[in-house]
Amino acid sequence: MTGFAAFGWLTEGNNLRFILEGFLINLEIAVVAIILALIAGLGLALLRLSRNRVLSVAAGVWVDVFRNLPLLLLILFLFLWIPQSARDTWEDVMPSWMPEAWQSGLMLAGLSGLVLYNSAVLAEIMRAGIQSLPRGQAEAAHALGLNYWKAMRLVILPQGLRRMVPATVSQLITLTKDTTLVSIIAIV
Amino acid sequence: MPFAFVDTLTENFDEFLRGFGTTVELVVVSFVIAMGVGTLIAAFRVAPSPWLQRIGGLYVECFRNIPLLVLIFISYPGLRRAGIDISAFVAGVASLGLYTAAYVAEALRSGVFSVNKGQIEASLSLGFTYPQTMRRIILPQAFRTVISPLGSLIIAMIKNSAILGGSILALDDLLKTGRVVASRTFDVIPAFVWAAVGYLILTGLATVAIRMLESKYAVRR
Repeated sequence: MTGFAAFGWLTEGNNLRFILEGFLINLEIAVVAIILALIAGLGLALLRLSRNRVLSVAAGVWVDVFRNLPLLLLILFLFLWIPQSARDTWEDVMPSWMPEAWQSGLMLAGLSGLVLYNSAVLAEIMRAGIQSLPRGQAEAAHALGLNYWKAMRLVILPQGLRRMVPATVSQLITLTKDTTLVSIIAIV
Repeated sequence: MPFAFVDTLTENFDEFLRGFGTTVELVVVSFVIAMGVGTLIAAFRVAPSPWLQRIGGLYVECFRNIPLLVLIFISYPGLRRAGIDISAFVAGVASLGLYTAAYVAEALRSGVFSVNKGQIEASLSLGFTYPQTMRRIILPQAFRTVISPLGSLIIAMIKNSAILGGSILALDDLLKTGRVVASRTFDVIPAFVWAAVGYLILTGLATVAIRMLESKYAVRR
């Protein structure tokens, strides 16, 4: 077991192929989870900043709860809680050209756990980015006659989202590392 | 239904309490390791010698970019197969501590760089040695600016401690307790909700403590 002899197993049989396949699955989960978490995170951030008090408090509680729970707890909970029927539906609707790991209903638990947790974290990052803009930006947009959505889309979000790029990237790296956790519920 | 919810806690209270205690123990021990090693590595990274800087950089890049679960696989089954008789607890806290240490080192390094360079020069020219400069001039100021990044690391560490109980180490922490209770009683939702409440108590307490420290020490900018 000295030097490179310890890595002899890598070239034996199909081991290298297995490792690369596993790597690919991690990558796929990461990409899908990143896209979904970014979308859900933006939605949550907008709800959190909404002028409707009920919506903003509800979104705040949601974000604070899911941000402060261990990701593994969420994944294991969903793994045990999501009913078999939902898993079966997932397996039915998943097209056959998707990779084998995605055909398993367990992916539903792993993926939704990753998205639940990371969308809450990203929502908080995006909220901070949006709120770091001077108030004058929103006021100027309104004064120019833009409505709420137009002001968001044309003035606030382009600037706010640019400010939160570094924090978002580091969270997405964490997400990519956290895709290892789905192995605990036996996604292989 | 709500009573069944409470029953799950009261009937398994001792077990949940033990799990909570184990999680606290894991977090405290890992935190001590993370702070000790992290401070050392941060000192390496800002040391005047390029070799020490490289060693520090290598440590940070390795431990920050390897998922915690992989570290656990290396430190427990890996080391045991290599003939080192390591216990699950030691492997767990060492993995979590060394993993977090890399983040702590980065936070402290940015704190050190936030202290004006002139202060190092001034203290060296006053005759302090380099370690003395670090300990007496730079680090006390650096620690103040890094309270909030360290705080978020502590919260992340509390959450990461669940990986120790959920993975092959199977330490009896809060998550493992929730899982055991869930599979014994089939009350999946209450068991996990109570485990979640335990984690929320811990992260909530940490948040409050950090806010208090911040308002007491943090540098106003």
